Parts: sequence; structure tokens; C-alpha cells
Amino acid sequence: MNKLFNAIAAGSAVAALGLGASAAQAADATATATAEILEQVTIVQAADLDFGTIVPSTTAASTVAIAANAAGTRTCGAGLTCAGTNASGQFNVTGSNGQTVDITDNGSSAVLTSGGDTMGVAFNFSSATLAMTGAAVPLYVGGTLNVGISQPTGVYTGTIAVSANYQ
Amino acid sequence: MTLAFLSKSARFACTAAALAVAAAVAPAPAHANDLLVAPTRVVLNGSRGTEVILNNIGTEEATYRISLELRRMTPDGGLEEIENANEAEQAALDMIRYAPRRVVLPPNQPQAVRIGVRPPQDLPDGEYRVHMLFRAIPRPRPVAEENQGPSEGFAIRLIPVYGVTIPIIVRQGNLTATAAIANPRIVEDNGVRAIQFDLSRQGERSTYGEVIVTRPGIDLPIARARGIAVYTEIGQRTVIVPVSEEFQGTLAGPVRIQYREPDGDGGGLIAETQAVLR
Repeated sequence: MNKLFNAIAAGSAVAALGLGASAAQAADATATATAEILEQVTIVQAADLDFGTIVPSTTAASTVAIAANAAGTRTCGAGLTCAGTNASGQFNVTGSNGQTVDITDNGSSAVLTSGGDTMGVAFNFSSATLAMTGAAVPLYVGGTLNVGISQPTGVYTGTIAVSANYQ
Repeated sequence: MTLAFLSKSARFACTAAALAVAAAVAPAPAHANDLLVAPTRVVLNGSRGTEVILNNIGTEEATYRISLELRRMTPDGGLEEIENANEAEQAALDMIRYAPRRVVLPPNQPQAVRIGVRPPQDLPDGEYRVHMLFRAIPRPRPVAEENQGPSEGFAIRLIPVYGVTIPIIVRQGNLTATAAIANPRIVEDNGVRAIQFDLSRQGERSTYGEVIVTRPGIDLPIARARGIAVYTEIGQRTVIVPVSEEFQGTLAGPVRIQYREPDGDGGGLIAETQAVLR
């Protein structure tokens, strides 16, 4: 095969690869072009995990949980005051119809930090396996925050790390 | 835009006034780390290399890192992250060459990642596998961001780091494998029914293919799943095949379950069984 075009099914990218001695240089006038359609996968972020606004308790440690589903329902632990909008995180994974994709947590934070202050966190996903349909398949991310007694102020940062694994 | 990665995911406030401030400053999400990878599986026989396309499908320039990771298959078909490589996994890591390992791409800019293999001369016959991870590197946050939280409360910033892995498989020698299907059954998860069965494998290499469940007298498959692998580290796994809405109510009955190679590899039958689902 002298000339190989790899065309990506969605049409969003076309790359010409392996351009060696092309058929166009041959003595006869025939040119050969082959197109190989590759199976593709995309992952995009559609929504941020949002715990909303939480007022810590001054007397007891507690937790706030966001469910890993479309609704992203918030469960506000005893002693905390929860307000504002909340939402589950969402990634959309798109692959060829019928393909199976495994989801793994690829090193998400277990602790959020703000300077010397910390707050425990655990993330969970709506599914460990996604069945691809050819359209975007949602993966929801929920989580549980462990809010300490009078949790100190600050900007707590951490990472949600997720990978979509093809078998 | 750096804000894209620094979602203000939760705000804590100590006073009602701070609550109001927190609610007002939520940034609109924008996502710049999105990516596309094709193809979704690479098998290398001998020393010929190949290429994989990475495309930035986000709205902004992004820096992507390409790395090799280890995964092992679990009995339910999941892939588990592995920290310490065994001998075969270390050999796989050592023999696979690829470039580039880091690339900056503007939106809609594809990049070919070249993959080659250089097996050592005394490499024992067998199948060697790594998983190539493509993901964007979150950009550092500008200092101004640090002070953006409400003065009397505090914020949580969750940085999403997400990507895709595809298996890179090297086969050395003439390897064979067989598979068998056993114990098909109906399972229910959240009120949605599916077909589950045990898929066992014997031989020196993995099996990979499509599962097709058909019913005598019905033309279209009642269920199918593609991209089902049984890797060499396990001899048996379970497979769950989603069933379309049409057949949810009438799943019980006779079925034929086939496990076939992908069309690109000839579409040959790997395993087949007939059973009555109850």
C-alpha cells in the first residue's frame, strides 16, 4: 500500500500517513488511494462536580455527598447547612456502537488541601463499564466530602482523575 | 482559559453574607482538555510499527501527555491499575517505543503518535501488553485565582484530569487461544435486564471479539457487545451484554451465544453455545 489515508469516522480529523513512493509517481497513470476508517473514542467534560455552598458545623464533623447520577442529589450531613446549586460531574464518552469501555479512577485525590488544612474526599462513578452507542454516553461523578468541625477557610484543591479504557 | 480546569465545585461559607457572594461568582464551565483517539486497539506482530491519531476536540490549545500504563483484567472484565510490574509487563514496557510523548495541539489539530516495538533477541514467545494513556495536562493556575474565593468562606477547586487508554499488544511467536462460553443467565441492574455469562480462555494469547446473542426465529440479534477481551492474566471472566428495550420483557427462552473475532480479523467464530435463559 503506497498511500494510506487514515480517516477518522467523525470527519473531525484526517491525516495522511506513510507517504512513501506514491502511486502518482509511477509510469502509468493509475493512482491508488485507500482509506481506512478507524474506530475512535472521544472523552469530553460536560459538567463540573459541584457540592454547592456548605456551612460547616461548629460542634461535629459531618459529610456532604453528591450522588453519581444525572440528578446529582445532595445529601447534607447532620449539623451542616447546605445551600446553593449542586450537581454531579459529567464526562461524555463516545465510541463505536456496541463497544465496551471500562472506567477507572486514575489517581484521584483522597484529600483536598488548602495550605496546611485538609479535607477528606472520595469520588465515585455512575458505572464501571460503559456500553458505547455511537452517541455520547454519560459518565456521572459523585463524591463525599468529610467536613471537619469548623473546617478552616481556604481554597481546597484536588484532582478528579478518570480514564476510559478500551479492552 | 485556566478557569476551565479549576471548577469552583463547592463553596463553604461561615456567614449568610458570604453565601450570597459565593452564589454570584460561579464561572461558566469551559472544557479544554477534550480529546479523540483512534484506533482504539493496537496489535503488533513482529517489528512493524503503526500510528495512533490523537486529536484535540476541545475549544482551546491543550498540552497532551502520552504514557504507558499497566492494567490487569479483573474477573468481571474491568481493568485495574497496577503499580508494580511483573516480568512480562516490565518486558512490554521496555520494548515498546513511541513518540511524541508530549504534544501541544491547537483545537481540531490531529497528531500521529508513532508506535514501534523492539523485542530483545531472547524474548520468550508470548503476548505482551501495555495500555497507552492519552490525557491533557491541567494548566497551572494563575496566582490571582488563589484569592478569588469569598473572603469569609472557602472554596473547593476540583481539577478534572481525564483521558483514554487503548491496549498495545505485542505478540511474539505463533500463539493460539481458545475460549468457551458457560452458564448464561439473566441479570437485573436498576430494573434493566441483561444477559450475563462466563467466558473462559485457554492458550498463550488473549481473545478479543464481539458477542452476539440470537434467538431462533428472530433475524436481528437480541443483544450484542463489541470489544470483549479476555486477557492472558486471567483464564475466566464474566461478560454482561446489554439487551435492547424491545426484548426486555421476553428475555427468557432459547438463545444462541456466539463470540466472534472482529470483522477486520476475519470474523471467525471463537466460541459458541446454545442455552435456555430463565
